[in-house]
Amino acid sequence: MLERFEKKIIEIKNKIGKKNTGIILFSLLCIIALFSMILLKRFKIEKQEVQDSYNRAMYDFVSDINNIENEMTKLKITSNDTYTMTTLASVFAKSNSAKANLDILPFSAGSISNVSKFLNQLSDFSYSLMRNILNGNEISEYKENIDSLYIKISELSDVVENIYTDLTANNIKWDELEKVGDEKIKESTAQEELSSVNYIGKTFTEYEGIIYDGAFSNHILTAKPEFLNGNILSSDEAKNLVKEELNIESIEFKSEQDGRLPLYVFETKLSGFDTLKTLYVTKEDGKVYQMISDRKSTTENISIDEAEKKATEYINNLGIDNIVPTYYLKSENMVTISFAATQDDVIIYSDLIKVKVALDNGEIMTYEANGYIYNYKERNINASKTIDEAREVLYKDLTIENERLCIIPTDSKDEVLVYEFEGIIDENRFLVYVNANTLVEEKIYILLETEGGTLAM
Amino acid sequence: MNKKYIACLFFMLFILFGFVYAQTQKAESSISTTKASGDNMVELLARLINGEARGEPYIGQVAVGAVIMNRVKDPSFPNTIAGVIYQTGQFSCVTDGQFNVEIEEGSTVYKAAQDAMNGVDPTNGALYFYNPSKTKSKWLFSLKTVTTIGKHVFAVEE
Repeated sequence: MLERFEKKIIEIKNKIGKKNTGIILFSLLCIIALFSMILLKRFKIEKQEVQDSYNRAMYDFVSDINNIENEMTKLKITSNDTYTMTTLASVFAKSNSAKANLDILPFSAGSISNVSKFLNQLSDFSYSLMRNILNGNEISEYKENIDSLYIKISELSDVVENIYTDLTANNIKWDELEKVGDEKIKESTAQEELSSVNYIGKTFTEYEGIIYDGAFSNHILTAKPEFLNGNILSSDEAKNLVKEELNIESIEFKSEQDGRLPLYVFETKLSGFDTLKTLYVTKEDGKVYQMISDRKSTTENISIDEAEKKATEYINNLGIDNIVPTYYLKSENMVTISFAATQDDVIIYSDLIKVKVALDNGEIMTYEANGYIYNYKERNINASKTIDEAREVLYKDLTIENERLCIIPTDSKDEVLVYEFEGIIDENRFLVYVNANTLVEEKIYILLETEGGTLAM
Repeated sequence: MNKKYIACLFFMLFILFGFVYAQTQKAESSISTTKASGDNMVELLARLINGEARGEPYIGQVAVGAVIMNRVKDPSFPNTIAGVIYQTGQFSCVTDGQFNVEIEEGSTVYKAAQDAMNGVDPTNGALYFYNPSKTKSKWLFSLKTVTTIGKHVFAVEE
């Protein structure tokens, strides 16, 4: 093939002369060279844009950390609640911003996982502290956590001092940083010449974390399930228990799982249905924790009410009787229904079970009882205020359509007894939750009707 | 002999030029036009599941989604779905563009994403997953395995 090409060149050369051929070939070479230079220049510009966005994020991170340290220093001496609130609000805002900036930077996840944890807890803690102070608590009750957070932010502030020097001297090579992975940070015990930015991760290698009332507190992730009783079963005992409860055609033990919750994993088929399902049963007490399966569902043959009946029957078979359906969402000819536990007619939203039912034949496809198993317990339900008193504190123009007593989970994964009011104003539908003991407005949800069901936001 | 050499050179340069040019035109992104409410971004999660676990059994797809949701709830990771997905170097499908591949008609990834966002978790709280035949990271292999589904191992730190 090359010969043909060569022959072609020779033909052209013979036609237009040696000199002209040379000129043409030379121009082609110049064009290619020119094009390469353009590409290279474009590459350099784009690379610079990326480096600039890293530098911007780093400068803003430095600024955020310095600001947080200032604000937390002031917290030590404020005597006035208003100033304390605005200072905490500032800490909240800056720690969110610091976290956002840190997420932009090309650090490996492992090297900054503890810094992320610190910033998340700092932000979450400030938020919950603001709420607590508004509810009448004294800031001195939280001294221990504030002090330990203050120590860490001071250390971080020293680190960013050095980073700032490096940044302004243009010493930070983001390329090299991208190559530093978790392994290098964790293994380097020797005094290596690490860039100042690497000290961000190093400062937090020993960060334990704090316990407070917030979603990111240390104790949240290690919470133990309330519903379980301590009776550890063998896989055979668990299997037999499940066989008594559900209409099982076949069931086979697959494996054990030792993650967040000790579980047995089975594969099973329910009578009358062909789909193979994976069943997760707790080792403690043999409770069905979740069931997963999927197939195509092509039509809607049964109504939502019928689906609710099928789901309720399934849950009842598992020994759980005190539940009511709350909301549902339809999609791809299946419906996911949320059930909440009840006690003495009080709806307990923290104890949730979700069941997905196929709308072509009522088959239970997915079952998820995380909320129920972790939170369900007998509760002492005592409302010191009446529902009439609660109704008094609502927004005057809200037209109330429904009201009842219930228990809802709070942001800090705790729970609170509230009166639930469903109301409309203009064309917006709301759920307002008023604390049944303090008459404080705990939460408001917007209800959005969609084709597939109601969304609470 | 000289001319043959030059011709060869030009030919190779042309190929190189075409290749480099094509590379610069490759990156495309497809945008979903469905409205997202708060962090309820099913389409985004579905896209990640599609990129990482397209050919996996349904449980494997839910499992990948569950790892994302577990990270969102964990203070050591970003606390939005987008933050977790786009975190530097975490998911190979994001780095290599598989993430932007269109989702096939009839794919189960949307259902898997919905289930994961509803709290279904076949991984029992796992924060990491990897493909042992494709991973070279010693650190990943040192993690405690919770379960293996399809070609992915799901793990937690000790």
